[in-house]
Amino acid sequence: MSEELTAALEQAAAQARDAALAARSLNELEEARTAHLGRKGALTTLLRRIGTLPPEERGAFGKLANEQKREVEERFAAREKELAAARLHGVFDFDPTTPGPRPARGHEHPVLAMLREIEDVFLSMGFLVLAGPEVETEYYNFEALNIPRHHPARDLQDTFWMETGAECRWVLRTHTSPMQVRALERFGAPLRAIVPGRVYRNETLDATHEATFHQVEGLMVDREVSVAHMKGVMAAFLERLFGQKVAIRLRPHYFPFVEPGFELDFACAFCGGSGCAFCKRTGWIEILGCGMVHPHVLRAGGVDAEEFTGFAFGVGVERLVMMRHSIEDIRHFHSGSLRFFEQF
Amino acid sequence: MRLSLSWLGDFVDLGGRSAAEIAEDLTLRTALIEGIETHGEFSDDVVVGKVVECRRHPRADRLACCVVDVGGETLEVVCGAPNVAAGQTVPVAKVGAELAGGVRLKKTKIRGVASHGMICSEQELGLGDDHEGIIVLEEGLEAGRPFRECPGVVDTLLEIDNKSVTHRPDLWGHEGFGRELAAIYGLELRVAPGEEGLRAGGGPLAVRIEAPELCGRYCALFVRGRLAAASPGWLRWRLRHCGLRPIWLAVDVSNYVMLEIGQPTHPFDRRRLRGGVIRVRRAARDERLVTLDGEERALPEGACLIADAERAVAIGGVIGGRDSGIDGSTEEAVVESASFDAVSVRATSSALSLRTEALARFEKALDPALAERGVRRYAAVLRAAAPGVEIAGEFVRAGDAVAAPVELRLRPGRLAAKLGVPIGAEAMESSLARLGFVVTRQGEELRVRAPSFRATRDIRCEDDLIEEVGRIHGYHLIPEALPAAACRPVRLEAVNEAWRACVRLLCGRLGFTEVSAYPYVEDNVLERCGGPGDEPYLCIRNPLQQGARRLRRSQVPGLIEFVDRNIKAVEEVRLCECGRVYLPAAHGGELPDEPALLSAAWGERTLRRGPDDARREGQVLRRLKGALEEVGEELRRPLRFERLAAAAPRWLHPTRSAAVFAGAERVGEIGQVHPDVAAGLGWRGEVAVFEISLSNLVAAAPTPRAYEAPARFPPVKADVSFLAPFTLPYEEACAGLRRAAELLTRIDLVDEYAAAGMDSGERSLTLRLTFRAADRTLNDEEVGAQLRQARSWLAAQGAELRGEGG
Repeated sequence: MSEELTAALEQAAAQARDAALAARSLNELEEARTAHLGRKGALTTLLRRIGTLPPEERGAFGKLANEQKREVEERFAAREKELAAARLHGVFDFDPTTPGPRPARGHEHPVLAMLREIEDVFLSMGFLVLAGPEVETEYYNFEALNIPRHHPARDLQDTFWMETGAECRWVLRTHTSPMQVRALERFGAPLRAIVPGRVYRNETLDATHEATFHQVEGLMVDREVSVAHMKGVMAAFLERLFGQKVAIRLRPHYFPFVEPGFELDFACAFCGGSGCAFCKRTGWIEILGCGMVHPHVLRAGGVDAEEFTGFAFGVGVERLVMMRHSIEDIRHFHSGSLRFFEQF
Repeated sequence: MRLSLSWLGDFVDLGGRSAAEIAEDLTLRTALIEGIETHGEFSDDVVVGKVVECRRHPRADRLACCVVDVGGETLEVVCGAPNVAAGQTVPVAKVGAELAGGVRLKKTKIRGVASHGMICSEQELGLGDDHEGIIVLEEGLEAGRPFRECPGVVDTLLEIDNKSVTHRPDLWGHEGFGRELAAIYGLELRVAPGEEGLRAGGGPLAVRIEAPELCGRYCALFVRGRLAAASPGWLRWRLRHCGLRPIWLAVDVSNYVMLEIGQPTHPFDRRRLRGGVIRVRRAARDERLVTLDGEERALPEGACLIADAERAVAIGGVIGGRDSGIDGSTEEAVVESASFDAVSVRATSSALSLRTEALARFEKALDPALAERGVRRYAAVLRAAAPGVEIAGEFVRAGDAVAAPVELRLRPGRLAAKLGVPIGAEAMESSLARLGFVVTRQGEELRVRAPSFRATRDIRCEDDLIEEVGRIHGYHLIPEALPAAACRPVRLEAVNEAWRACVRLLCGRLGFTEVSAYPYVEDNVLERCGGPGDEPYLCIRNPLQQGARRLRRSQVPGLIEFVDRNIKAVEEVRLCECGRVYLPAAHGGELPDEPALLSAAWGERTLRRGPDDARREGQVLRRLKGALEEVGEELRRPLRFERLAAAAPRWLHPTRSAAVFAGAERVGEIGQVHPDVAAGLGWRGEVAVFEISLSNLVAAAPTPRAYEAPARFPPVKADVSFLAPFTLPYEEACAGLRRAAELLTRIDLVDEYAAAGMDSGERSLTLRLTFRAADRTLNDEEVGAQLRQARSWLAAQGAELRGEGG
């Protein structure tokens, strides 16, 4: 049997079958049928060449040719049935690349969404989620946190002061840390809690500085809570936040309300720690401040500083969001502009 | 603050350690190093030159034409510096040399005179910011020698993050960091030596401390000689690398001592102190002083002043006076080294809005013992820098302040519990001892005495000692461990849970975008919304801008502002905000109430048309009300709405508005924005807003979901359409219909509208009525009868029925 003719036959049959499937309407199907199975059709023409074969090969070729032709005809018949059925439903032919009409979707504020995401992480570790006053007394914002008047640490936090009578000195809280003392006063020890919220600094606005921003404060006080525990909880938090394990390191840093105090860096996700422009070639990116709760703060909260120890941390939320989405200007968050928010 | 690596080498032998390694170890154990910079590595084209000749430029008064010997050749160079003079030794960049910023120096013509090089200032060489004049080098350097080979030119600098040492008065000089490195690496510390031969005694001036609470100790050293000469190269280079400009010998030595041991000193010109006495006293009312920076300053009453018999000559711990300082002719100086009260210098500095290097140190509470170390070190450095200067053998010492001794116990068990790792007693002792602490063992515990330079403020309790041991040990060596905390169910805060549910609903299914406005509302925003009204506002005393002092009492003005910003660009805006407002408490002294509010705005740029093509009014408000009803449903607190009688917020429409209730409690309002507000903003469409207090809403108990078994018999539905006056409220109509047709089990609103062309006071309503019996399938006649009863009840109320509903 001629190999060449057999191959040509199989190819022609396959093309005819594909043509049947490709037809999107009965008209197209009829055209395809004529082109392949009609008197001058490709397959028909090929079948006629049976006469050119030596007689002993004709039998086998004829059998193969009939099988192929029957399959093609079946395919056309099946497609005709499908198309005829489809026609009952109207003229619409579905284009899978046309976007579907969607119900109007809303958009969560990216900073507040991050706040809720952080809440979820700590809720899963058994932390309470607390709120505290934003107009705060000087005592809770500073003194209870071991920042007496005239302490140079107050310079680091340019403060909005409220207009009040002489009897009280109030501020817009400069950090969420006052809630450390308030939470201890209210719940005592042991305690695990976070305080997400707005904080305020009297700073001139630019692309990286806001006067109004968000922090999440965290506090865990119990018997024998150590730096090792703080590192463990912070690593677990960041792993959830970044969706992968990240290396962290502590550097000594001064915050009056913790002792010892730290800044916590994580290994730069862009360069893996080898140093790049994003991490200023250090391989590390500072992400939060933390430390062991100062005995002064525990005592201010009415907790026995001998029996209990604890750690606290504070993380700025805007920076996390800006890192995650590569947002270039912090001022977008208060713009109210749909062109910005619709992207989230 | 910059640290010179070569200077640190005076105190500790750093061996072959690289700058990067040292920076990393300091970052992990002491303070953040923000950067490493190498200074002075110039190419061979920057050489030492001698100015042989210096003439004025023929066509420019401010330029000089110099002939400079650069070893084996002389160059003609045009120079614009005011301080250039013949005979000077200077750095010269030859043609082809690379300057700071990567510029390559070319041969140029300046006003017609060819210049074959450049005599360099600090800025051009990238050594500092000073571009006022060229660098003048000490004599004796060989012309033509590559500049970088001159002693002191090349150095590596570590940039310290000042914020990380605000609590460490001992780390404001090189010696303190030398001590840290000695402790980190286990090396010997060589402290900066002082002139030990000096004796406390008398001098040409007496010192009287009249305000001992402000100045605990005051030492004065007397020196005589060429004090306005140039300092030697090694001293000048260290100052330059650390960012200070060398001036005159007596001033340079003062700065050097400050950068080295952290003690600020101040030289006075002896001739300018009158009356043979230095008085340390409080400023009287209305005293003034022209300070070193040339400013005439009104002195805060009570501030610590240094005065002579007649007048103030310096502000203690902050800045010296211009007229008593060193100048080019000084030959006799009195050098002050004192201990000032940290709180008082800070208050004075804030009152003057003036921060200086001296203040940055004194406000950290320096060790009083440094006052005497300051004069001894000054004398030693001055002797090394200028052997010809005469130093009096006696200095005057007034006041006897010392740091109160700090003695603490350190329990290894407490340390292990707090750090999470045990550290051996030997390691604890040796870390503390290298940091200057005196340690003795007492059974299990250590007794630890803090060195005076850590005892003023920094070291106060056992935890402070734990930090010292922990950081030298290395925090990065502490393992991560999750706490084994008791299993306690977390109590959820109702307001927070409600907030999260509302955002999920509004930003999910209901298509709102969550926004966040500043809590301080701008006056003009309030003004656009009908003014601030009579309610009391909490105000910020020092706002970012005067027009934004008030803390908001409502989120609606902010939302209206945001709607306005967006409505020009899009057809429809749906915004929500969940945040706080600030309501002054009724009683003075109590913190304000800060309820959490949920507010939303829905705006459409134009009125939409109905199927009849007429523009329909009030539809935006209806849709927003639907969204608010969903909120109530989600929180399982069904809301009730009542026409607002009085006390409507100023931005609400007088008639298209309502009060919102949950149970008996009023929780907020909803309504269209007042036509005046909308007109003021130029809106053509409609904007509706609501605001409810989540705090009040969640105070009500949630309604449990009531379950009813699905009915067994099928319902029959029929629509009725009619025109009805607004005086027949929907709820009343429903109640009436239910009474009129007892098999009516459910009423759904299909449509409500009012459009142009209809009688005012009327709206079109279409209701879908569902009839059902609990025990049988209804037949056509029963339903027909029910429907007739319903329709005749409506007709009796004055409704005008349309067509037959199916």
